[in-house]
Amino acid sequence: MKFKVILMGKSKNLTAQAEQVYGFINSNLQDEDATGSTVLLVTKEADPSFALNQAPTDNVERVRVGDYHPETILKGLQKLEAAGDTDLYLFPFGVLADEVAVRWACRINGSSLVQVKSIHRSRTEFQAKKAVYANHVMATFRMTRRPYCISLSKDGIAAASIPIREKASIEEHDLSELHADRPSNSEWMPEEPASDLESARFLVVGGRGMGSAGACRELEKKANSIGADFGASRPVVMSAWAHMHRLVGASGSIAKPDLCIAAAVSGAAAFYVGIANSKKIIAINSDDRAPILKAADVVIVEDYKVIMDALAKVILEAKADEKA
Amino acid sequence: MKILVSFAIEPEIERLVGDDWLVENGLEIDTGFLKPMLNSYDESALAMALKLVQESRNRPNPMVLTAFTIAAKGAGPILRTLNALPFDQIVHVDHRSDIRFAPRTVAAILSQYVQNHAHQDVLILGQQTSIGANAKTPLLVAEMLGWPYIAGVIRIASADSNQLEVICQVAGGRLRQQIETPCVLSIGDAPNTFLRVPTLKDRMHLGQRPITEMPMDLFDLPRETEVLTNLEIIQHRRSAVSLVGQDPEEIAQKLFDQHLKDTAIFRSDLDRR
Amino acid sequence: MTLARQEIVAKLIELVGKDQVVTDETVLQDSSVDRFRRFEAFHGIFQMPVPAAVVQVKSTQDVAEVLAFANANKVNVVPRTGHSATEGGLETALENSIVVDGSGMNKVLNIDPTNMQATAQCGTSLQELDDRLREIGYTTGHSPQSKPIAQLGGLVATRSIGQLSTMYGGIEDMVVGLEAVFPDGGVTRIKNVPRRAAGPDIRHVIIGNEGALCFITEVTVKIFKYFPENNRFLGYTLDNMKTGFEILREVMVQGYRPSVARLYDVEDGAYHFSHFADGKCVLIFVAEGVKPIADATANAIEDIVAGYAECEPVAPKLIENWFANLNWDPAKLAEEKAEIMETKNICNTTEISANWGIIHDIYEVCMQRVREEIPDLTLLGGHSSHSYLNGTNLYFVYFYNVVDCGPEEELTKYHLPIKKIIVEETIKAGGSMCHHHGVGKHRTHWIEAEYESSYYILKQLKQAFDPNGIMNMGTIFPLEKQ
Repeated sequence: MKFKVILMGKSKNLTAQAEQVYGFINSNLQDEDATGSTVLLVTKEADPSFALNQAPTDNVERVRVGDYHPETILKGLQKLEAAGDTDLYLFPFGVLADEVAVRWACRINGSSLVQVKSIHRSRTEFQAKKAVYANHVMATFRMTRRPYCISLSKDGIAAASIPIREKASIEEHDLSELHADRPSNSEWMPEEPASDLESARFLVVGGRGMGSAGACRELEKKANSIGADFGASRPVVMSAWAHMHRLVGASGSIAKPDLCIAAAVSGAAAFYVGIANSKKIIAINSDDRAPILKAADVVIVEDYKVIMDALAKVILEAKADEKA
Repeated sequence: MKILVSFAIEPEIERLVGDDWLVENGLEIDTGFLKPMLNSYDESALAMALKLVQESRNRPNPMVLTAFTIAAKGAGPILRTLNALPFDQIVHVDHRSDIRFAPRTVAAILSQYVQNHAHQDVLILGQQTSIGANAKTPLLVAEMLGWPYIAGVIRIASADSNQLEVICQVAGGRLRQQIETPCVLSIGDAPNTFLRVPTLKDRMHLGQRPITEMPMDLFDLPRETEVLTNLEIIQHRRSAVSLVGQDPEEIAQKLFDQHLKDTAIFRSDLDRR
Repeated sequence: MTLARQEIVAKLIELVGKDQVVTDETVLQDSSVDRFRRFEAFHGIFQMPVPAAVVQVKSTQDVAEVLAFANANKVNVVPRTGHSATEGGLETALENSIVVDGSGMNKVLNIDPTNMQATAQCGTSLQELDDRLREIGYTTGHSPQSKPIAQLGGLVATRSIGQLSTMYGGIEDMVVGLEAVFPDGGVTRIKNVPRRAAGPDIRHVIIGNEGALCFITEVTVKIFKYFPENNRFLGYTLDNMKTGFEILREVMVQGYRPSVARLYDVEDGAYHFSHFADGKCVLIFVAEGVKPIADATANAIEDIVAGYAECEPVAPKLIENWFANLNWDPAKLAEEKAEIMETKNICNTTEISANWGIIHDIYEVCMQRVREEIPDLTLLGGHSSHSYLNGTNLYFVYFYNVVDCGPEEELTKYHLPIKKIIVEETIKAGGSMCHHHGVGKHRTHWIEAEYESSYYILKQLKQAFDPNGIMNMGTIFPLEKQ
């Protein structure tokens, strides 16, 4: 089985993506039968040696391209892969990776799946698993047509650090003439990112039960006052009570705090994947049937406001005592 | 300009609790007793398209808006509601087979509809369904038609009489761009995009207009390249130790003493703040 | 001599202590209304006079002292426990009212399986009491939609009824004994006996008084053995409401008592059951109790319905699933608020009752008039959910968009005109304008029409027990008539 990893050299998440792919390879492609290389796409803005160190395989093809537009990447792959002897294309997590995986499979008449968690190969079958039914169910699919193009899920795959060592081989390709046409009259509006919820050690997440934008702002203030970062479930950001970049869950941040307090969150499966890696989860919800109450370490069936007010007092008093 | 929104009708799976989550024959979960509904992405798509077209009503060359679905039973009330909002045309492809995990089938039907039955300028689809969650269908449609594709759309507006402008949420910010037609738009997480509720009068007058019904056998259906072989319920369980007390103060103190105080976050030598 | 606000607060603090007297502005505003005015309240608009204070009473003694003080100084008192009322009964209609909140009196005092009764303070949540009973194999049998948040005091004060009433009865059938405090501060206890014929049944002065006569501090209710494993669920679709009413009548007249017997019209049915009842009315029955009775009841209902060709059976699992998701819980209420704010579309209800002979006509004329006379409706439907030997109730459900008017005009533009149509047509036909929510403050206009000559008896109760006019003024009796 010959596999190729496709990475974009300037992606903000490059290291996270690469480590996840590396972890995936360690768990799923370690048999002698599997040999792999990485196609590292770099534009002129990328740092080529940094990018090289993120490659999760010993063999690398470093490819200069004009930009990271999906059409550019697809045209680039078309040129590189003319021989057609790759069995499996591995794309990292992310919206761009998902798009390219699917469209590449179309163009080479293969099969594709996005947000895959694991694969299983036998002599006759290639199977992949991904979450369906809003993250309540794990589905296994048999991919019926080579080449198999899969992008990885952001959650549910153990990442692994890539040891820095010299690469066995580095092929250079210059396809810098490849670029997409800029869309007409386009305007790029960068946004201040929120603090990185995915590296937060102490996280408070608010859910729909907060009831209003005002209550959401209050909880965020309370969270910050006790030293925690603040995230929100999907219904909260979809009602614009909090900004989209606070979203925790399947289509947002996958957090791994030491401590997570889930306040007024019912705990739908698609949300839970965003906090499943927490060391400890404390759920506060006045509804004793909320699903999250079975999936937390500590549960408190009360109005979250009164508990958080009381908790903030206790924490601030404890901190004051320490200083004294 | 002809705009078509393709949407799915799915059972309200978040109403399943505990033992309801049960796999039968390795491939089925009984959802027949649940109310049908629109998933959040499709609802955003329909709401945004409706708003766009209504804003264009008083201009020359008003837009024409079609709602398109491939659905089996339970579709009636939702289709009548869309008819009453109003959408200019409702197209219903009546299928009886299992299309939960059939993105190629759905994409093929939609593409053939556009190529052979009613040309469109813009196709709008929600990013993914709740059940299938393949996130492939809009991409496959774009590939089958050879049209440009834009992901993560969160707002659509008229630029001038024949142009549309979209805003997309991407990593690091938002991109506003004018789009060339024809194209495929995939709707992402768009805050505050809810379908409004039609009045009784609109439902009586507009909701009863005929819906275009199309049988499945009008379309050439491809084989799916990924075949479902197993379903397994994902369970999340933790110890769920219950904390109770006479009042919130007692509970909060217990919480701190028993579960927070000794964690790395609260021990003063590691306190970052 | 009217006391000033600060004087009222100072005296209350003297009586019960600072910790039990709340004067926080947000709490006071929130305490001036109940669910009737929720649309304007969600928008931060509070049109009722803000109360002087909310007193969180912890004992019957507290209640007695506060009432005596209010009575001596002619200060309006609004008794409250769960704050789940829907008809304005909790609105503070007069300036500087005192809201007496019994939700802190929440102890279950005694569970007595030998005598099949349970005693609890007024602030006990029904859900909590019932959960405790279920743990040992019993139930109160009382299951209103507000069960997760409603408390015993309010449930008795409003003559509430639950979704299982066709078998277990309304609250009036469940109350055994009571304790209540009257405006003069006097505490009255009615003992727990199975029946008594020592004069009129005075419990009924208290049950349903809506806080206009006294403050209920303790309640003893019957308990029933609980056999959920014997529940039988039956559902049918049918074409006509008239047929549905006939079937309900026949079930009751033959002597069967399913716990649930409900008939939904097409619109209301579509809202809940679109997946199996598109364009049809829906009939639902639940039979429960000991197995022989539950089975006999369910089998008999199947036979009765089989006699009506237009009825198509529905898979029991669908009914079971719907039933499991009926009650309000705090998460649903928070969602409701968010949806109302986003869509400017709100649902309200009016419930009436009438004998079999007139119920269908009342349904038809109300539906027709509301549909024609009221703008911006997005749903108008109704269901019957509590049946008796001689008649049934009707619960009208209506959703409307609030259009071209401020939140403070929502009631006058939509809800009150709808209520007027339904109340007037019902009284005209000979039915009752209030089945189970209580009169509150917004059906008082028709209270004399509701009672006709028997209004004399009701009026005398108010004059006898609340001569100084301090108990929840504006409730049951319109303000100006005092």
